[in-house]
Amino acid sequence: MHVTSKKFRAKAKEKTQDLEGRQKFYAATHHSVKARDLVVQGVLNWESLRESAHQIKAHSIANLADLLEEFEKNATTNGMKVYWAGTEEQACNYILDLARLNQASLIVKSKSMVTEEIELSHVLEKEGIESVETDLGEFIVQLAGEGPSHITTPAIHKTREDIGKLFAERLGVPFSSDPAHLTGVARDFLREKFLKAQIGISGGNFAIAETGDIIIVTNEGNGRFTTTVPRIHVAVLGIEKVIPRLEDLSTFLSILPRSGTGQKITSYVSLIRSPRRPEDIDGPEQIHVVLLDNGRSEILADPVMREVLYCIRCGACLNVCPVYQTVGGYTYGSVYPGPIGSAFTPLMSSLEMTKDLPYASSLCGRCSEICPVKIDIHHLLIWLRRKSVDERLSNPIEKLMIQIWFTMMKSPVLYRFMSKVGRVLQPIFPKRNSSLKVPLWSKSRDFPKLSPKTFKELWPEIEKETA
Amino acid sequence: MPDDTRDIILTRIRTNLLVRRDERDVSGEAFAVSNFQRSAEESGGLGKGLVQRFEEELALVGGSIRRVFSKEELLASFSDLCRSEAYHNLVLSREPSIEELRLDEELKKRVPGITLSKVSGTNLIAQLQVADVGVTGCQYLAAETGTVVVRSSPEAPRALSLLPRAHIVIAKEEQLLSTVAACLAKLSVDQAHPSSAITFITGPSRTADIEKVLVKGVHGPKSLHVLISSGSI
Repeated sequence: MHVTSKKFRAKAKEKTQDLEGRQKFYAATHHSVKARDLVVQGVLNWESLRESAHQIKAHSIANLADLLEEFEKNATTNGMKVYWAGTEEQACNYILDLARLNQASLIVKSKSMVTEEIELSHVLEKEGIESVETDLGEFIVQLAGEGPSHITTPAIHKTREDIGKLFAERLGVPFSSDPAHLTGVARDFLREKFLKAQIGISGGNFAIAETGDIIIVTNEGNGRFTTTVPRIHVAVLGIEKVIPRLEDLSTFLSILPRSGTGQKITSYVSLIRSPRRPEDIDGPEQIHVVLLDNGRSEILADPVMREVLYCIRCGACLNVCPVYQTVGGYTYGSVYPGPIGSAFTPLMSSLEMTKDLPYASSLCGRCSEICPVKIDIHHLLIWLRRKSVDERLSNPIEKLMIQIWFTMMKSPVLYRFMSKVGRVLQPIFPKRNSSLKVPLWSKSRDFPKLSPKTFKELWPEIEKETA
Repeated sequence: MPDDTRDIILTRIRTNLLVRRDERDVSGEAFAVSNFQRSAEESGGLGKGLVQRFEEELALVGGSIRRVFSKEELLASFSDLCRSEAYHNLVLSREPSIEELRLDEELKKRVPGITLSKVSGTNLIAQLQVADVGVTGCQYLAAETGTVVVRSSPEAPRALSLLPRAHIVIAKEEQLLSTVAACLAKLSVDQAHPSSAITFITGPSRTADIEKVLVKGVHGPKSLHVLISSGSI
């Protein structure tokens, strides 16, 4: 996984100056949140659904090894081939070998975050195999030579004019800024690819241990095409995607579309059980399931952070996050942006490489409140901050300041003395834009005014008045 | 060696899971099962009749529904649909519920210029590429979301409800269940003849990837029509 989060602070600073960009992100994320709130309001037991989902995920992770073995057994019985990939190289090499073995020159992909994580398209392109993203948003960012900037809405940062120009340039069609027309252009272009491709690669939202099913939740139908028309279907799934039973799926089908796109259910939910049977007249001849670890099993060693593996990638926490709304997806320097990405990326990479990410949060807690599987995201970020202090990655000056403050707060005498001193020295406190600056604080705001009297001094007066 | 990798991963999972967090036990105890189905029914809406709820929900996502009470009505309604939507080339599944309607003979009488064919095992994709409509039956309907559950079979291949620009579903009222959860519960019991793929379809294919503007008809059908018959036909 390619991580460039080291530049977060610098990039974020730049993004906060881009008012037009901020407005775009703000509008798009608000649109999603409003749609989500509307369909969630209609569910009276939303909180118990979240709790159920959390419990099922907690159970699944606690029994992960057994469930994976059960899934492997059932999927294999159904005729799928299960491959265990420890690293992203192993996963990519397996798919590359498969493509070479079958002389595949064209691969169609339906949207999948995990294939972004292992940079599969990049690897395939390098070997001269054309790999086409078929989700409209992913198709747009692929044409532009970019990556997704949002988990469920990859091209959230582009306007219709941007896309019209891009299509005109790259596909040689007349310019249009009509979303319906542009969608039609993509449909025609991609239909041809679907029919020619030898391999279809998808992710998977869930894997069912009890039945060996792969579940794919989509709206456009590209997921169905990818898993129906090409001769070979490859599904790449993180090992955390397995849940025990088909019945457990109903909980997730109630929360995932509502949280992700504000729908009661998506247009399509595919339950894929086996390759084409001898009597069938369509469907892939082979299905390969790549179970990807890539650092996930190491995350389990931290019983607090384990919870990040409950994530079902709905993207709701991105939409409500004031930081994401301001800086957008790319700033995070990871395929997993936003609050959940800030918790997940450091574990997949290292805290040293990503040390700003746990701080990319106002700790307002909206992410935790909206999370449909009740991941306590902002507390996980605090936990990571603690870890980075333990690992001595934090700023030494900050540490010194905290220690001074800590000593002061612990001693009533010292505290009273310092608040007196503070009031006396107040007139020389730095103002915004003054030449004297307290770093970070007075760069963009005035130092707050201290009250002329402390609460303790005020108390006798209040008591007299109320008596 | 892939087998090595498998064992390494599984061992690492088991070892790392032994590290416990004291205050919150997530051991392998039985967990709460979703009570969605029950509560959804309690939350009202489903009480007013499943067909009406199904109709409302499907309309909300841009699908259409026609309710019929006899075979004659079904055929009339079907022909009407073909005429008003200018559907000329239809491909029919070979499921018994569709075969018994003898649509090929009946519709030809009613709709001039219509072409009907049954799914072909030899040249399916080419056949569907030029078709306006794929006609299938279904396994269940879920009223709460307006969902149609179709399962693939040699008689009703996966591509039939995917490639043509419209999908017409012929359903019976007794196939109507309250929720998606109820459909999943039935599917997990009913494992006798499992299909290679089952699809829950709710409305036409759609996207909002360009500036969040909703557009219907992306890779899948642009229109979804459900003809639901009540009583015996």
